[in-house]
Amino acid sequence: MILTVIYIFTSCEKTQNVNTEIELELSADGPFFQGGNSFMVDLEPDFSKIFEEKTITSQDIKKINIKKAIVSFNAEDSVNFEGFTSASLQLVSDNIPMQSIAVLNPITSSSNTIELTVSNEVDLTDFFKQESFTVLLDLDFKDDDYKDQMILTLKMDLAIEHKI
Amino acid sequence: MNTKFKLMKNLKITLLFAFASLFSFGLFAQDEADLLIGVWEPSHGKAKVKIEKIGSKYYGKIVWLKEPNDPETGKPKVDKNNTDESMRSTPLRGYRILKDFEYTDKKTWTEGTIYDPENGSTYSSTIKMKDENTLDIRGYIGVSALGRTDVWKRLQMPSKKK
Repeated sequence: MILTVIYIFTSCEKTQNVNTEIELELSADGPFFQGGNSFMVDLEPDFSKIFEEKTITSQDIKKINIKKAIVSFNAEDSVNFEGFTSASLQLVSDNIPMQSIAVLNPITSSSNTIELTVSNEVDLTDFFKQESFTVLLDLDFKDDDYKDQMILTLKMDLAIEHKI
Repeated sequence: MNTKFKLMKNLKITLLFAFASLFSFGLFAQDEADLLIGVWEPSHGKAKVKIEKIGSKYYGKIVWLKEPNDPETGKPKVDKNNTDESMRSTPLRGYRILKDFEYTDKKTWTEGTIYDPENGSTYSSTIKMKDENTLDIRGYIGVSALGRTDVWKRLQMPSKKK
């Protein structure tokens, strides 16, 4: 994880901004039919891995925005995004409403990596205050694919504002 | 001694029966909740929506559109009326217009929302199953009494060719 610390002081309370990257592995079981197929992973937020000061907890978080979302197939899988038309990324929790956070439509890349357009408005704080939530990526397949399973890597750059 | 043994045995059988009954009731409730899963068609016939379960909640995504392409662009329809401009390229086919429904009881699902891509508005929503092939989906703002109900019918998706 790469940490970059930027100091910002507000008039009401002192806060700090931290940029961090989260890397996740999402999977889906086949067979995959033409159209949308969902890749998922459960995420249990662990702020001790993000912040050097271990006293910072989820209660100190004021805001989390997504800055970048990059999805890739492993190079050794010999799969690229030529066979896909669109991708949309959502967060799902039993306790809070589903939230769409990034999309790429159309997919024009023929490489094994794509970068999604992230939402400028959505605040992910409530999700990261849960014990766990699900990261859901819907990929639209151009054709049927009868693989047993497919695995993707998702890298998300997050901007976290927290109280100090 | 024999009496005590018989009492203990009867108690164990009673507890086992009670546990089995509770377990069966839980499974029955879960079976009822999952009746919502499937493909449904709204009354306007412009779309077909597949309802599935993610986690403990139910979501419905558009899997078919009567008019899949935007007549202005000639390209597949996207969520052009979304209030979040950065998300307006989201394709409508595959879009989850029903979100976060939770089963309560008596074939009713609540706490959900329904999204209307024609105007970018999201409404609170409840679903009641009238029969196994018919849903009343009510969308409202604030008070359920001030909303509108639409009747959806269950479809059988054609089997995928291999």
